Amino acid sequence: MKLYEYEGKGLMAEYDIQVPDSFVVKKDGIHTPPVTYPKVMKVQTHSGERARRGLVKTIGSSEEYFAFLNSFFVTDSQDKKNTHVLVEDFIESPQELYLSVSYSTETRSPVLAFSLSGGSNYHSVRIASLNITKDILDEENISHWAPILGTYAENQEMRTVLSSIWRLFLEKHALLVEINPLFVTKNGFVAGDAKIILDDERISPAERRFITLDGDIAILASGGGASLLSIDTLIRAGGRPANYTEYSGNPSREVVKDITKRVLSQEGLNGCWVVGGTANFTDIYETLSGFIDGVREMELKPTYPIIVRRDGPRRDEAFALLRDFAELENIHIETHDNTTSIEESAHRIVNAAYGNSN
Amino acid sequence: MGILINKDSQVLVQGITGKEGQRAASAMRAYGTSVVAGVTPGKGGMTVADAPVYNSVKEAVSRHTITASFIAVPPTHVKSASCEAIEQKIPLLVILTEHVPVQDCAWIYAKASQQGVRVIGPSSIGIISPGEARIGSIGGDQVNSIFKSGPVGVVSKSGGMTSEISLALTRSGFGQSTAVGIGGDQLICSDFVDIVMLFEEDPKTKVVVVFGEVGGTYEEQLADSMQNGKIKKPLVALVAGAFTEGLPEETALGHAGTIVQRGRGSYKSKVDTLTKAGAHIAYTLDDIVIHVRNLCI
Repeated sequence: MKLYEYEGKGLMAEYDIQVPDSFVVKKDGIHTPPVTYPKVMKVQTHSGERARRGLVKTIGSSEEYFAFLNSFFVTDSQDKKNTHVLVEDFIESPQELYLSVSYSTETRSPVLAFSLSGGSNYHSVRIASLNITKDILDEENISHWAPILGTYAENQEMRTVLSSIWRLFLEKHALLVEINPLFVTKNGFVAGDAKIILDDERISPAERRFITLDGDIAILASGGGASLLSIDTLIRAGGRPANYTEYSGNPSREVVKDITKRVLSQEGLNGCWVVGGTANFTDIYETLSGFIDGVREMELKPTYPIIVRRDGPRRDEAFALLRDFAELENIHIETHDNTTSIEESAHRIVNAAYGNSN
Repeated sequence: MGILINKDSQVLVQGITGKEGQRAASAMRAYGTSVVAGVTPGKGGMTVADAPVYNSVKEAVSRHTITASFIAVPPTHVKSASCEAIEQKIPLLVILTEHVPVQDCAWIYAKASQQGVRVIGPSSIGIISPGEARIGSIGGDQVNSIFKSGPVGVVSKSGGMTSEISLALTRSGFGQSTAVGIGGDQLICSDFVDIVMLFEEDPKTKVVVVFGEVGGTYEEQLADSMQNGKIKKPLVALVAGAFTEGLPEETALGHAGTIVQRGRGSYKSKVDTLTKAGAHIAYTLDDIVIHVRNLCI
């Protein structure tokens, strides 16, 4: 789960990391201008490169303040969906550092990343791997990160910042805590930005991934690896997937129904592919019943072909149910068991959806 | 031969009284693998799948010789269950559980490495050396039609694909020495390099088949080991997630892609590095079979 900058800074402040004084302006709220200037206005968005896109601006007057808000709050661009602007004190800083803690899949441990050249064009980042079973200020960990901190290795205040970041990282189950830039001011280090990502497995383990792609064949895929492969296979067969979503681990009928409705609500569909490997334990009858429930609850019945490629416990019953449902509702549904390869099934849905010869 | 497990494996099941634990214990027994004991705190004294249940790993280890532990406890208990097993120096842990917090996984990996314990997982469907032993319920009731003994080592980030690939190989006459599900989490306690290095030492394994996915740097690290000569056996790789090329890095199914990955982690990065390292790239199950056939001649 990604936190917005203002949320990240709020969290950092709780851990005694200095952040600029600020207030948040909401699109639908009251837009009282600041009393002193200059200020930095920052649109709160998850997309990067805000400065380049004009979403960060230093202002010197209430006219500029209102002008920024007006241009932002009535803009037609994709940023219209953003609703919060952070208004911060302008921080004078001769130097901008880069500092982050995250996990490396190379060392399979937390790593500290640091650069003396932070900011939007940051570079020359050095990385030190950390022992998660020890505190960041333990001798062993110091021996890992001291070499990459250069002149800041002995700096007491830097050690305090490191300690704070480490505590935040562990206590909040973060995957990333990044401060870029970390301002060096006469009052100490100040976080110029805050990028914090928290571990979803702790927050919403039941949430299913859904990615919108650009196509017209709706996808309901089961199994993590098989679903990725299925989408690749569909594209190689000339298909255009509308979305990626997968469900695994024997989901309930209810869950499958909800995913189905979400997937079939996409616009401009020319086909639907329900695809997966051979389940060992997932009750196919249950999950495909959930699919049927979902279709049934759609306001607009699918007029496009639906192809189901799946196998596992109670397959015959499930396929019989699908056939009966198809007949009753006059919907084109085709079923394939595992004697039809995923590639063949992909070709079938492509032909059926795009009207090529059958 | 094969790797990691054999007929003499003596398995402990942690979380044996839960649904997954029971299923796995029964499946192992049905395959002839010795499940000597189980652990569920508070349920000591019961019996599951003919195995005595204890309240702690310490108790189980004091009464039985245990060579491996299969862990099927809820996500927030995996760290403590694993640490218990590591403390008792059980040499091999296989963690079935999915959605284990990344931090817990980092901790388990660190502790296990310190103690010389090998951990497979989390999110591992299990391990099977066909004809010898199975840990977990990999293959379910169809295990004997999916897996058969032979010269191909299979290692996969996806549990389901471990079976699909093995089935395709078996149907084409190529059995497996050992098939291992390593899981697809951000931190993988035994990654491709770890497992393929074992296949490298195993006389029965002639060809290795790898199923990878976007996210992390494990496939690139495998390519590195092939480049520097640590891995010499012929290797076939299928990497899934080509469609994520062009998606924003963090939307793509990788994890918090950060500066530390240094450009690695994408589908293209994996296929490019593996290709340069001499791996045979497959795009479908059929491709895998064709490559294996060519390499076994």
